Amino acid sequence: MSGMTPSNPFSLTKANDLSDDQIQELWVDIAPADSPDSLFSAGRFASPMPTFILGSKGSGKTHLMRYASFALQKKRFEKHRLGPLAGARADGYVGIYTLCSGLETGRFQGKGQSEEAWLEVFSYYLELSLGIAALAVIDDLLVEDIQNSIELRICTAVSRLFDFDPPSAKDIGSLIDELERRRRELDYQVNNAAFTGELAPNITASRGRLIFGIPQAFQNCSSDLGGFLFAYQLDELENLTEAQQKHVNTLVRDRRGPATLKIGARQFGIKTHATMSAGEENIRDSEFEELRLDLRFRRNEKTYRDLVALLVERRLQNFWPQSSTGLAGRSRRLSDWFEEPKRDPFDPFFVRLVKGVPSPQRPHMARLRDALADQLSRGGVRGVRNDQDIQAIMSAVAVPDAPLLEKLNTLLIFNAWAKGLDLAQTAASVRADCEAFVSTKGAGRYRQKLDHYKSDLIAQMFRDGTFRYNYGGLDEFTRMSEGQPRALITLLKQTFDWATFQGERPFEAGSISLDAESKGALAAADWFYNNMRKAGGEGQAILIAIDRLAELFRINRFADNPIECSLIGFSVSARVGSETSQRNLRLALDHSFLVEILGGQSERNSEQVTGKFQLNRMLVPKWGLATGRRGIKPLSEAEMNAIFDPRMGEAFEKVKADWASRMNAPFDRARRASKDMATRDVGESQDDLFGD
Amino acid sequence: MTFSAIEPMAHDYGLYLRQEIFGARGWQATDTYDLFLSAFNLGERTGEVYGRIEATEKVWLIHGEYGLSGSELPDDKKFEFASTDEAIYCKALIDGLLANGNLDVSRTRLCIDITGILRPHLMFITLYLKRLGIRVVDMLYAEPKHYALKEKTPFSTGSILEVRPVRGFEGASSMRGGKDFLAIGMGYDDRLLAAVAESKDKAEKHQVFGLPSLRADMYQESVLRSRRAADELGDPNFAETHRSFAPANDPFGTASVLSEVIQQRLTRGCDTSLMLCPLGTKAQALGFALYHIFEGDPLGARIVFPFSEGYSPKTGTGLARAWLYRVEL
Repeated sequence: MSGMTPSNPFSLTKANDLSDDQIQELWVDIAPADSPDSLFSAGRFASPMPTFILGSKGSGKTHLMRYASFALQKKRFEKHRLGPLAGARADGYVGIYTLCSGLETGRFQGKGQSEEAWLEVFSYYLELSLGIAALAVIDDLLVEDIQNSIELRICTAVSRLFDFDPPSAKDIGSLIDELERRRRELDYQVNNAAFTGELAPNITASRGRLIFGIPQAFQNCSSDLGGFLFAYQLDELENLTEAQQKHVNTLVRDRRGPATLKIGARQFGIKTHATMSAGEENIRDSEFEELRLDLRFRRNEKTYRDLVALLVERRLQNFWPQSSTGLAGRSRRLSDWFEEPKRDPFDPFFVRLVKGVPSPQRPHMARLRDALADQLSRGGVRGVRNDQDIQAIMSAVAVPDAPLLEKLNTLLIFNAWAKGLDLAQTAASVRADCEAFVSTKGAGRYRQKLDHYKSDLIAQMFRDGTFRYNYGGLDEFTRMSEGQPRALITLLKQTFDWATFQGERPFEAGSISLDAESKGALAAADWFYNNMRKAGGEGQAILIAIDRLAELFRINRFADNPIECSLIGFSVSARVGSETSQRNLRLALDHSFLVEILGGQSERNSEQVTGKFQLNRMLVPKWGLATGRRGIKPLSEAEMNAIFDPRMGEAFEKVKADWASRMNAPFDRARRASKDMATRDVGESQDDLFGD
Repeated sequence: MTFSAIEPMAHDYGLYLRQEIFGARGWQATDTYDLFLSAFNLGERTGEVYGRIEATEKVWLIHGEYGLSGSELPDDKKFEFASTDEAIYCKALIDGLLANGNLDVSRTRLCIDITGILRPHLMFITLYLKRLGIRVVDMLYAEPKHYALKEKTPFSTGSILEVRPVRGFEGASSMRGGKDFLAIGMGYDDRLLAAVAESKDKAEKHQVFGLPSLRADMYQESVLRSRRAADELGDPNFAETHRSFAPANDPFGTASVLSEVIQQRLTRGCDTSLMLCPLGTKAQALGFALYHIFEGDPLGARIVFPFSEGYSPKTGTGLARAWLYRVEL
């Protein structure tokens, strides 16, 4: 492997930090390249239909596009002993990779010139730049014997593409030199405009003439040169202004001949689909196709899991040869290197979590007892009239050997209390259910409740014991990465750092401790969160909204009676909320702080378009929230505005107080709330798990 | 006899005059000038220098980006202009001075205190003066005793509007190679740093730290700040090979270090597109501009900058030292 040997196999998180060789060697796909299911096929590089390759930061756009570019194609041709022309025909295309950021589009503005004037200049600049790139590829494609015979013909054909002042070059090298000279002249004019206030470029080729004309001219020269496309791969389109994107959209619309465009951009980087052809918009699947990388991964969890496992294995093979994991005949599965959080209620870990004290002294038992005693002084609650009743309930719920079940039992009592049920009767039935479960470990009502609430219950026990909640296991990390391979690599990078810092030997001996994994997850969450700080005002608004949302989810997670389990999701009608809050919700989605929930519960109220969203799971360790989403909380208009409008601080405090009061003993507002719920559109509310 | 290709000689920045005009020994006598320019902000440094320098005409530059209210502005002669574009702003300033006779390219003894001038403006002015044919300009830089909130001092405020080349320093893409290389003058503002590093995330980054720093603790503070942007910098191990050091108060030393860094990079691979981004002290920003004027421009290098909505009008407290740099263009 070329390049350096890092001290952490995951330290290179971005495709652009990788060399061409590394891109080639670290590339993994979910299916063979010629299979329609493969990522590579999904890029549709050999299809004339232009494609937008979209995805959030770190979803793998650049890796895919660079892998498909001519520089890497050539390496593969060599490997398969194919000449460049034969290789191009076999692939069906040549990829001409260009970074939009390299154009420095910020130069094409201001300086006392009109926007139209700058657009003309930008258009010509792009024409020259892509023309040069296409000619460079042609130069590489032509092996010597063909080159000599047709070079002049190509140059003549290309010179006819110019509106005036055609270049008189006799070979491709000189033609490239001439185009570069024109671009240099344009550079000078663009720069000089800042001093002179004047801009009078000599535009010798109009829009599309070179970009589409050069490939056509090339293939017209000989029948031997056909059979493949020139795919202009423009990466980082988000760096272009709206007007400049309009220009690119016009190229997409006017595409012709053996050339096409494959455009990479952040999801929110597409500012417009409008064109300059009488303002018409390009329509998806008519003028272009769209590949949304992270969506594709999130839609197909199994595929994504397989992909990231491969990706991690490949990293270890290349950067961590001392690793004793791997595909090549080594026995240990990748996931075995990661210590998993404890979830079995009979695991002695939970006795340690409550520090081994007897039932009555455990924090959750004290909390229930104190809450009931408090209520006694205020007139009691159904089934609880005196201290003996309290004592009877406490004995019924106690499970000395399995504190997690005991914790669940207290939650069931709180739940019955919130509903106004008789607590003595509830305690008896909880006891019976619990005993049946302990003896049979079988499925049933009790088991279902345990599974639903386990994450929240364990989180509460960690908090009671003043321990940091654990995140860990390859499955959990994969889930947290939300279809963004870079997010997973970042999680692993941070975890690896912590593990080695703590003296562990990750991927060599033992397992990576839960402690290192949890610290890694928290560091990765901080990284993700802090990325937003620099975005200024907009970023602030997103952070405020996300903090507020997380605060509410925390109230739910640590409540006596959470209204939803493992809550990190919400739903909201498209018509609900002020302009500001809707805008901030969109921004949070654009920046992947929130992600849209796919294939959630079906929409029962068909008259309203309701969006379902959740916190990006990369962030949840910041607040100790769950990584497995179960419940979705429908938000009212007031809640939506209080969360997503930064100016609504006071309103948010009220919402918080309202949530806390509904979910915690003595549940003063819970019954009123349940009446409210009855009159509300509850379509997407999670089924009440305790409504037997 | 054969001739081999001769390497272009690096510019010798050691010949320029750099003189301490305020320090442990108090204020030293300076020349008197025909015209003195300085940008107004709420730091003590700029006010003290403004009061100390003798000039026939003194003009305060008012930068809207500092967000100062009318009552905070000085009563002295000032230049205000409603454009944040450095080229438009500075051209209006200099062209105005030329038109009203305050500036005569061949005669005026000009002095500029760069302490408060925004970096893109400071660089553009320097280049514009050179293009006008001005031969010598004295530039002053006043060091703070310390930054107001140590390594937590906020410098830029509001949104970062864009990362783009500074007008006039836009380079030539025709000379660009396939690999991007970005030399960053490291400062305290990790927000700006993260913005530029992320915007140029495909580039190999080289960090030029201010060392010796203005004060002993400032280097550590700047390292602390830059660590926050480690991910965007793509340098998780904080590798030695990606770092250089240039004196924080020496533009000529900075230009000289940049020259070496770029030379070394081009020796490794000439197929390189060069970018510079000065986020350190104003003295270092001047050094970046000088390097570009004398050596970077012919290489097609460009100076990029993350433009922020606003800047904090007071970042440093007190005046520790002041320097005079005689810039010969």
